[in-house]
Amino acid sequence: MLPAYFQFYNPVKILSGKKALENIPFELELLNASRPMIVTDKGVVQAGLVDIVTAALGGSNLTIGAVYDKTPPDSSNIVIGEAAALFRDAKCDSLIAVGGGSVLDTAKGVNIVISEDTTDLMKFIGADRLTKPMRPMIAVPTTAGTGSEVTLVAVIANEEKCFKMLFTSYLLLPRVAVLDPRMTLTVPPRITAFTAMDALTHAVEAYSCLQKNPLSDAYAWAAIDLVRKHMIMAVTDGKNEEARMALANAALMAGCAFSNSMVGLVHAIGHAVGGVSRVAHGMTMAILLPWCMEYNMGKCAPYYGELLLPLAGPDEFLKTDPEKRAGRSVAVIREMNSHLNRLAGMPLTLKDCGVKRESLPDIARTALGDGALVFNPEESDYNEILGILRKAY
Amino acid sequence: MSVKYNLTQRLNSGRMPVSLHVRSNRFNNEKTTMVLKQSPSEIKPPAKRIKKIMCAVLLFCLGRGFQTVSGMDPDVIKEIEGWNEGFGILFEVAPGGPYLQLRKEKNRIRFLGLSKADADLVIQFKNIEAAFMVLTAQMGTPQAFAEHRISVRGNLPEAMRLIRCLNYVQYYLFPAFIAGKVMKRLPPIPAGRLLSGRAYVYLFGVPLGL
Ligand SMILES: NC(=O)c1ccc[n+]([C@@H]2O[C@H](COP(=O)([O-])OP(=O)(O)OC[C@H]3O[C@@H](n4cnc5c(N)ncnc54)[C@H](O)[C@@H]3O)[C@@H](O)[C@H]2O)c1
Ligand SMILES: [Fe+2]
Repeated sequence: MLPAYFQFYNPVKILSGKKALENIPFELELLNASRPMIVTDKGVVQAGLVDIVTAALGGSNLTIGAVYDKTPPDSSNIVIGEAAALFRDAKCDSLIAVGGGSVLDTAKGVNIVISEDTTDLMKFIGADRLTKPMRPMIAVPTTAGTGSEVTLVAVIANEEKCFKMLFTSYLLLPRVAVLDPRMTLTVPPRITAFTAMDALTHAVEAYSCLQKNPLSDAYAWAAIDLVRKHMIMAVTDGKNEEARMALANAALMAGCAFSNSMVGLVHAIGHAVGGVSRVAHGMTMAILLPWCMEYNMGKCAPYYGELLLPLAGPDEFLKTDPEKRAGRSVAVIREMNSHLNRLAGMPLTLKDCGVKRESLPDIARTALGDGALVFNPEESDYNEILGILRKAY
Repeated sequence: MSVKYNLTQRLNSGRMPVSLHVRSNRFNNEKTTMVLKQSPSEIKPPAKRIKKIMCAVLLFCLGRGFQTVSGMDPDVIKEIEGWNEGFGILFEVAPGGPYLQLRKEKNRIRFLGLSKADADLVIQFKNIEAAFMVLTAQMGTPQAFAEHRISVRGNLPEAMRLIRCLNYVQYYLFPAFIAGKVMKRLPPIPAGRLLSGRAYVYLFGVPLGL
């Protein structure tokens, strides 16, 4: 069904495939920039990826003004101030983010602080609060999950207050996204598994949330199809370039889908779990997705039913009675989770992620304040969210 | 503009002989300049004054309704406890109003009028039609957010709290067959409380500000 109205915006230039990194100098020149700062984290540096990027920029007129590599998991308001100071001191004029979602979102946060010329990130929390043009940012994702390279979202942990700050603005969209096969080959199996489940969650939520539309549907659908075909291979054979690139493209497309139709209940609760208990984002997504789908079944069954085709493939889709397809989709996702658990030790319950039972009420309360809840088709109150958390525990 | 457009369209269609092209071209150019001289090509779209007045009235009802419900419904009272004393909310229809100004005072939401003021939380309708659709319950608040017709300035958790309160207020203001269509789910207000509350809102709350 066509929505009565929708908006769709994705101006990010996408460079995807062999030797994509080598095009960065040309793109920066088009953007009138010559002194980028690289934002990354220790894990990415150790995997040798920053060296690969630096080498790829060779032979150009670029000067890397600075490298900031202290990004913590889930980013943080504190390090963003530090990184912004480095950016200013080194007189940089643009950003190259090389890392997973934590790094990409840190770079977005640095860009807010620099471009809005502020010290207080908190002032810009929420939707459409940014007004100043941003410094050119090039996103080089090294995990295939968040899709942050094409989303208008930045999620940054607030260390003092233990919640995840959400920023949305079209200005936060990077100018260029670079998917290079060399960037994801080194992701360990467990991280490969849960980041892929993050991408899958983006696609499923984009396909069923309030602002789903034909364009976001197309992206979400294609993303799920690629995840089904390549996820297990990428987990078992990390050096398989085809599987890695397929997942990288899937994550990007899922990001593009949800950046336009938004995410819902799974992310609202997931952000709260991450904020309160500091669990990796993808893990919470994988665990919560089936439970939240069951919760949303009353409103979303037709959409979930359709998704059985990309989730399980044509044979399974045709074999399943139409009215059983939605339920089967949930079961297929549970099977994926257990498969990833056997292959890569991905946890299957919140308890196994180290969440304390006493913190569930706190998590539920935090989730009630998460903007993603608005876009979920089904209403949910404190007790219902607590119910979902208990099931997932 | 439109004259030129027609001309290119005709030229592109290629159905006219070339000589005619040239003539029609010259003719049309003359006409364009003529029109430009007579009246500036500037067009001022309608001011929509009536709709703005209607929106102001609707905002007034919402403000008064919220004020009453915030002192009456236990669920809303509990929600409001989460805001600090003096917490200010502004509804704004862009550009240039109307506005609705609310503030938490003595554990209740006070309706402060229809003027503009600084606030902790600003809910901005991007245009008058968006405001009209939401205020007349033709479109739910979440849907309006999803369609990018509303923007928020302020903390998201506070905005979420406001959306939950608005669900209650709207259910007191509108009958179930209207509210039910735009809400994901009707708030769990017991029937007796809903009936008496609605009567109070209609008879005293909105007209008298009680
Ligand atoms: N902005 C958005 O649209 C959006 C969407 C979803 C999630 N997020 C946020 O993104 C964050 C999660 O990002 P993530 O899942 O990509 O994880 P991450 O960025 O935290 O990275 C996880 C770990 O993997 C390591 N790593 C990354 N790439 C590697 C590589 N190629 N080889 C070896 N190790 C590598 C990192 O060093 C890190 O230790 C969360 O904070 C989440 O809230 C943002
Ligand atoms: Fe996510």
